[in-house]
Amino acid sequence: MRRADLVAGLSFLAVAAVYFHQSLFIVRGFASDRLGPAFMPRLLAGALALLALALLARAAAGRSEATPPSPARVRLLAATVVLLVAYALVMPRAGFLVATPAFLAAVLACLGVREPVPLVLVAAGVTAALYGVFGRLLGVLLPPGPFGRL
Amino acid sequence: MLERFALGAQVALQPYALLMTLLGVAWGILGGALPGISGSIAMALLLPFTFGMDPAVALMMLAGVYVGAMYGGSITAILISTPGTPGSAITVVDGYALHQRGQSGKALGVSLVTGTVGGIAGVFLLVAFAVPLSRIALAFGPPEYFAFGVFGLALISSFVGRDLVKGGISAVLGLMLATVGTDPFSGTPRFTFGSVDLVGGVAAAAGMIGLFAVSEIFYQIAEGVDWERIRGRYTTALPSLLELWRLRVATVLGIVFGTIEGLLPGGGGAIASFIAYNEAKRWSKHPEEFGRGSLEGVAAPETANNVVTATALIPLLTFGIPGSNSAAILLAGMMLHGLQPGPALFDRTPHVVYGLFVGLLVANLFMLGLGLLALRPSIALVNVRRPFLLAGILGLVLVGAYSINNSMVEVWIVLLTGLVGYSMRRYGYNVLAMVLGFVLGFMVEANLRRSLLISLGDPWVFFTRPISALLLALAVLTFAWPILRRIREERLSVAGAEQGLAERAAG
Amino acid sequence: MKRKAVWLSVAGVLVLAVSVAALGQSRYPTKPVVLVTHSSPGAGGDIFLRNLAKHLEGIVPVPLVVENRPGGASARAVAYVATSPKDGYVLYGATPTMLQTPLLTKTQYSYLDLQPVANVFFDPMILYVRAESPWKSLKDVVDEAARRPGQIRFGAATPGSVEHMIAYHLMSVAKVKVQPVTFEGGGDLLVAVLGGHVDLGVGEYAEIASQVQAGKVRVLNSFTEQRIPGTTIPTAKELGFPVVVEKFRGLLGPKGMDPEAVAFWERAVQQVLRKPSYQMYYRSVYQVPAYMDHVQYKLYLDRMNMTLRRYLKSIGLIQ
Repeated sequence: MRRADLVAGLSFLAVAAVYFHQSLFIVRGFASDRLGPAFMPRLLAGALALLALALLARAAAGRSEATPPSPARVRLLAATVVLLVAYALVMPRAGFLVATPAFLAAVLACLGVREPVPLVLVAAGVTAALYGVFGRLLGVLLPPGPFGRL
Repeated sequence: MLERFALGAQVALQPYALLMTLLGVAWGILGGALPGISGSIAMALLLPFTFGMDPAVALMMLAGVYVGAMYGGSITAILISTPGTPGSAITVVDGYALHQRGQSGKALGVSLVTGTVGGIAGVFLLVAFAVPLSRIALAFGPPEYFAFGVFGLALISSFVGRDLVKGGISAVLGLMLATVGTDPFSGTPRFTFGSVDLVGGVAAAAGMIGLFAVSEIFYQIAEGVDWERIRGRYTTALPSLLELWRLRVATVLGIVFGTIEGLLPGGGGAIASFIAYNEAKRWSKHPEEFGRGSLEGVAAPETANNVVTATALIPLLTFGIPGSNSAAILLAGMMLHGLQPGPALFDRTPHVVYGLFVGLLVANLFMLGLGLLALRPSIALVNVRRPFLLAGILGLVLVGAYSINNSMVEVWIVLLTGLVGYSMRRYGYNVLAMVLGFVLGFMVEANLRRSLLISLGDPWVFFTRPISALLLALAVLTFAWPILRRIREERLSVAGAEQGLAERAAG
Repeated sequence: MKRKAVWLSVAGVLVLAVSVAALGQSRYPTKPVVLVTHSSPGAGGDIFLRNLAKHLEGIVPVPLVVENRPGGASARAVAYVATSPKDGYVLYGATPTMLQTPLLTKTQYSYLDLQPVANVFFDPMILYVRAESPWKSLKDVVDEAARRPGQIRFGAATPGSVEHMIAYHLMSVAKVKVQPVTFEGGGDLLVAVLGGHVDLGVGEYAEIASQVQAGKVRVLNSFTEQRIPGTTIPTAKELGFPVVVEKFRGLLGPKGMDPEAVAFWERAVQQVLRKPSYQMYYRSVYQVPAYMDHVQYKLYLDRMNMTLRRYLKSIGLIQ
């Protein structure tokens, strides 16, 4: 995993740099305390940078372990993530009761459920259960969508 | 005292009061089990229904929700790796590991039994030592809170195992996540990128759902073994009496740390369970099982969490200050019924206070009963084909994330932290260390800065105050202990190997 | 074209007149009214609205539904109400947070996008010390602060909050320097005062009343215009330090809200404040009735907003 550590170390350095850079824009005000709002962030940015350097040094020394996941599985994960993002984008507009069964059905299909009947039943059943418990029993204001609240 | 108890029992043991408490516990188990719905929210949702009740009954019902929610939270922590509160975050480690080994019933049973023991022990501490214990709360000023938080962070060295670099990175990332939001001392927004949605910071529940639950789903999708083979192997067998007896040390440790935690209003809610877990590991005869499915690893934090339900009432009843979010709802419930919490409450309305105490005892027993009833159905729910389970969990945690603030922001946070958590698992980083940093970061920073304000800039304040100095010393020991032990073990094994060689040469 | 427009408007007026006559009594409100809070269930703003709703039963003929829209430090709730229909079926239960957030962060909507309807309460703010403290009055504190500038540890909430603004105003009015120490909540501060970790605190009277009764805490003064009803606590003003800041609680609707609905709620608030069962409750939690009609309330909010802005500028949080 030498390469992974190398990539990770460089990314953490970048995260530390961006985080530090952002900390420069923190307004201090006149009423703040002695350490100020940017003290802790800068300390953390420094700590992350040091740890990332340690990781890089170790990667250069060449300790390695672990194997990458199989490409098929990675594609499956990528598909799930795409579905999740789509769901998060569409749900507020389409409404919970429309977007959720569609999303669940898509995830099920993606994870290899081929039989249409269980697929539809589970997608609809889970949605109904979630709506009943969260939307009705607990009064969560789920997005109603174009059809309004049922 | 005894007469007052009798008076309380008279109120609390009426059929109507018992029924309301039972309903409260059931509602609490449900609310606690649902991600995004905390015990305090479940209680608040019931508040309007208690308007017309006798104040004693209303408080018993709310306390029932409080108690039930603690066990409810451990159901999801154990079965789907979704802790409901920071307090049950550490339960995930061994509870979920036990579940994956198929011993779901044992994990839930241990949580239930030790939780009940903790809850009842907490009530006795509350009744017997409320006033002396409340002095501990007053002795804790900002330096002590800071030191306690550092103590909590020092546990990282014990949690991350060999790889301190990756563990350190994980913890720092968690601490960074905690800096998002309005800075408590200057009032200025930090790392919100101009978005008003982030001024309140990242909701703890959202961060934990992402890092624990969503990352686990991603991990199973991307790395899972053959799904069909693991179907139907989650068993409902309960722990045996012998197994429970072996948990006595862990349970006592949980009671000790849970007591302290409940007394500290505004303290990082999770520290007690984290420390209880770590101490249980140090005192255990089988520390190597921790992290792979140790019953003691479930018992210690779950006991601590349930002790808190009672001891968090100490600052509430003595100062009128809630020791937790849920206690804050109880406070609201008291105010709604015209009760002013504080020392006078004991004399003015003893039947309410002692009714509440008896109610808490009853609620703990109801929790045990209802928990046993709910055990089989909840395990049956996860004993389905893997794709159905994964899709169901995804739906559940997404709605849960949405319901934290009735908004999509938390859904996005859950997705992002889920991806981060997955990558961390994939490449040998430590999600638990990140959660620890995330949960404690705010408390540590705020109390560091507050301490320097009250000491007028003198940094020695942390060492001249005895409790703070003691806690910091313990933090150093806690941090160094696992590292030193590992070095010694490595040396011993090297020495052993050399000795073996020498013997062979001699032989 | 022009004639057609005239015809249309005549027809419109006729239809309106007929429908109003036909509806007669059944004007606003005819369906449930939603009361929105930016608090989570169980927090201050939520309790206020749920109680108000409970006691409005019998005064308002339709059900009242409390909706929690937390997040974004009130920005989400304000945005929701500002973009709701103007027919008066969505109201917002406001606190000073509504003014602070748009001043401190960029938000899409502010109180200017809302129609003030009526103020209901002030939560009185007070200055307190623990019983062991030598100070008996605000003057003792000011004298001590003059003797030891910057040494007195004055517990308050985060800069930008009402509590902090009080501490800050007091310093400038009394021309002394103290060391403000920030806490996240009134309860945390009370423990710190009781434990002697800070020398004094400013907070809501309701939060510390039980400790006052128990003799653990001494109240030095209030920051109200008049003395808190039912107490003998002097105001800062009568002690010669004119600092008057209240936490207000009131109702606002979307801008352009139906005037009929506004008038309805003005009457309803006045009525509920006179209801004995409600009076018993709000007195027990030390909320001071402070009814303002929509005109007064608008002027009050403008003034409060100005004060807040000036204060935030003076502590360097905004330009």
